[in-house]
Amino acid sequence: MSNRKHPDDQQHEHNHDVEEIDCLEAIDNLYAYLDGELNDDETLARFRKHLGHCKSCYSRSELEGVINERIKESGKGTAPESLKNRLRDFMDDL
Amino acid sequence: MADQQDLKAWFTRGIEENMDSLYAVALRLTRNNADTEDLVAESVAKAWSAITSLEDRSRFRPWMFRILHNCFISDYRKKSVRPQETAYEDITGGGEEEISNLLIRQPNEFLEWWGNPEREFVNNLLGEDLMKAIECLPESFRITVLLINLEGLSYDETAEVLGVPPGTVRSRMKRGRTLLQKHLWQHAKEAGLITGNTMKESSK
Repeated sequence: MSNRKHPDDQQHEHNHDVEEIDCLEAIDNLYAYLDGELNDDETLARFRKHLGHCKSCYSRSELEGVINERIKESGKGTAPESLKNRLRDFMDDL
Repeated sequence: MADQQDLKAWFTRGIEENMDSLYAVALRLTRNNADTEDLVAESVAKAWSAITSLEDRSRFRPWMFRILHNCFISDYRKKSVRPQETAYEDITGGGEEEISNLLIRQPNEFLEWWGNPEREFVNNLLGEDLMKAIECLPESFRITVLLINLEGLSYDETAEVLGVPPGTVRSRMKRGRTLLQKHLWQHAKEAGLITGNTMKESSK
């Protein structure tokens, strides 16, 4: 779990720099970013720049990252022995 | 003959390595313990009978998940439908901008309360609660979130499993996770994990 602090501790204000995306575009890219699927360098740079300025989107990104970790921790399960034995019996008979 | 033995050994190894993953995804699809084992067993049998259709062995996992998902759709889906899925229909038909706007609007009502103590909320959120929330997602979003967030498949691999374009996978992720947040927020209130802007200790 990340302990990073947002670089801007002030109230969220939009940066009107032409290179920065807005919250709508940031949200649109958020999950692809967290999933390692935001592969376009320019989009990635603009997204990161927005997170550096926007406390709301930064906070959302942090929360979603934590939820990702919790899904991985909580969702993993072990197949019951009854199923494992059933599959092994099937494969033994192939 | 040697090739067939090699194929059997390779297939067996692949199944052994993925038994837990297949079970975990099947369990969240069927949401019914009684059907889960049958679904996995049936999928493995179908996979072996269609083994020659797997041209690239490095794609074994998406190929196997695709068979599991198709098997679920054809034989188990009807039994797994739950009424609460309809509670999300108000958003599932929305356009992309509408979904993003929902998230944009959320900060005031959703983000402020967890502001600093967000980790406390998430830590208080039992894993079981999180998985129940995922199980309440409409099927197309649920399988997408499971394959990507639980099994670590790429968007391309997930698109291969579901037979949809990668852009659709990306859209479903956004919609699914938006719905998941709505459900978690509701759960947190109902469970007493949050009251107003304060957090309560978990009952864990």
